[in-house]
Amino acid sequence: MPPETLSTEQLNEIEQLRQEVEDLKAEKADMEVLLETTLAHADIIESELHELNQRLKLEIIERQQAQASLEASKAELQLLLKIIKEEKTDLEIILETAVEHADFIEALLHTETIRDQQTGLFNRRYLEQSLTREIKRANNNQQFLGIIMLDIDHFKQFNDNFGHEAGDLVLLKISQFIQKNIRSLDIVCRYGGEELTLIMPEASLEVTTARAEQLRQGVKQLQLDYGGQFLGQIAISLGVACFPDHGKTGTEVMQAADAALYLAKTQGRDRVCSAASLPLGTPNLTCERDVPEQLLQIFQGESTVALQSEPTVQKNMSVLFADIRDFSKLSSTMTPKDNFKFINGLFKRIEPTLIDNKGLLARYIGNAITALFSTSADDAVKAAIALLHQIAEYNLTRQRPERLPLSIDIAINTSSIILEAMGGYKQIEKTAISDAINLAAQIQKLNKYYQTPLLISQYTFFSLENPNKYATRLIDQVKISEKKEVVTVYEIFDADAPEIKQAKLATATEFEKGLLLYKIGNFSEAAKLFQYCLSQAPVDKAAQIYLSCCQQGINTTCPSYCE
Amino acid sequence: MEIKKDDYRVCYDQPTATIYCQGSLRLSGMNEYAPIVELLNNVAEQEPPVITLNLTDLEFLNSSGISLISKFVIQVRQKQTINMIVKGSNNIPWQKKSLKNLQRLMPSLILEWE
Repeated sequence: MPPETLSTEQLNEIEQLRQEVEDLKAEKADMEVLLETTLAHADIIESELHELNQRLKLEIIERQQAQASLEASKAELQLLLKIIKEEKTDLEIILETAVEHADFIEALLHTETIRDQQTGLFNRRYLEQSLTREIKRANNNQQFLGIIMLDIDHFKQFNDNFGHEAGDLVLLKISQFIQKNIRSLDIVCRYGGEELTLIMPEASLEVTTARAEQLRQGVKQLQLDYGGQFLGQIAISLGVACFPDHGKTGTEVMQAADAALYLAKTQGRDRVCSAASLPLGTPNLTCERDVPEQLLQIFQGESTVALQSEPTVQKNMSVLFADIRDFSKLSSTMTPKDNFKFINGLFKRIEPTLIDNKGLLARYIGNAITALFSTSADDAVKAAIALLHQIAEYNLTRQRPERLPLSIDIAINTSSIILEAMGGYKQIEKTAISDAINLAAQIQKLNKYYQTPLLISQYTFFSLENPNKYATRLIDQVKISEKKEVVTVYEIFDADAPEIKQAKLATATEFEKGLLLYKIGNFSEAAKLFQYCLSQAPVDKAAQIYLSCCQQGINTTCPSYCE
Repeated sequence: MEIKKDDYRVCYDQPTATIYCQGSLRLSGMNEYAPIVELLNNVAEQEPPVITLNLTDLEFLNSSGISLISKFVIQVRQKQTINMIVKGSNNIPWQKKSLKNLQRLMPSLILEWE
């Protein structure tokens, strides 16, 4: 077909197509621009992403490294922790060990300070502490408190017979027995030597006494042997006292128990004595056991060197025993409290006189006082004379009719006391002292009979430096009960009224002659001499007695307790 | 090696690797214990296979003393190569009480009583 034959229609169509091509061309150019733009953008984005990715990767590595190092240090820390924990445990154990050890050592040392090593009982220090505490408690709660003082009988003999180790064993076994036979709240202590003390809180006198008796019987049943040798029966003496019956303080109650123990000893040992049976108004006792301790100081003060080189030391000791005559008559006019005050006051007055004359106050019991003189017999006699003068002066203040004059009977005895050094300890034989005191006490009773204030034994008489210095005369020769020996007794009348003293001095020779004639049974000659004495001194009671006996032909003037 | 004073003696017997403590150790604080610490350190440094600590004649030991022995036991335990025997006496009251704690510090420690 020719091109002139193209129809309008065809032309239009061509035009339209041309237009379409143009449009497409424009569109393509746009698209190319778009593509180019997009590509460029994508490139940028892609490179940014790449960069970001690189950074992230780096970060991851860094993080991984950090974590690894963290883990490493964690392990390190855990190890450290383990070591520290171990060390802590070690230190805790050391601390615990050290504290337990210290507690144990402390307890051990404490025990040593409150316990007696030999017996395992509490010691005297603990006794004093607990007594104060228990008395306070008893006082607050208005309760009783019983005290038992206990002493092993004939302990020294025991040591002598079987040896000190056997003696130690006996002490230990008795201590153990007592510990097993007390209540849980009781406190048992070694007071010293073979003397034990039992504190019984909340126990009345009856309960305490019953316990004491039970212990006494129990100890008697003990069968002890040492090295296969039977040690024989062992006996104990016990003294009991009770708060508040026998004292308001621990010391007072203990002293009462101690006085009761002394009573048990003097009554023959192996028994229980109660403070209730002590003489009325027993004041402020000084304990018997203090005597040897103080004496020991006297001995040691003078002869320490001698003690080291010699096993024994011997020393003369004079005992002054003074008693208030007819005290019961006097005391019946007073209340018990006044009685107590009176005796205490009196003893306080005379104490300095004894001390000034180098006397050592040993004990008072009831209305009697005992003093010891280790210096010389003369000191004892001087003290006695001074005492009598003092009482005479005192009586001048008792002129009112209701106040009876006071008279004191004094006797002095002198004895040699041996101090033995045994096993490192120096001991004084207690019985030697008790014997000396007992003889003085017996002689003292003669005062009332002969109406004399001061008598001395022959042992004292011959210990005097110069008997002629004193106004003395022989007054009797007596057999003292329990003792077989005959003791010559002398009167010292320095303290008599001056006129009586003069008369007695003037007739002393006749009196003594008369006495000797009387003793050999020549009553008629003796009577003449006594009559002469009475013509000079009518109040001479001894001369009266002897004359009366001569006239009746009685060959003893002595009261029953002397024979 | 020996430390000898009036009331105590500490010595080391090398052939038997035994440390003897005798008498009464009541020194005051670690300063006074220093010479003994030194002796014990020396023994530990030698690392014998077995160390015997003989306390049978040690009558008294204060708290500083028991700490010292405890530390020595730790030191020996840490060496890991040394065995240890402690000899005590039944007649000395504190030993029964305090020495058993050493086993808590070193479970392999052997306590012997005589």
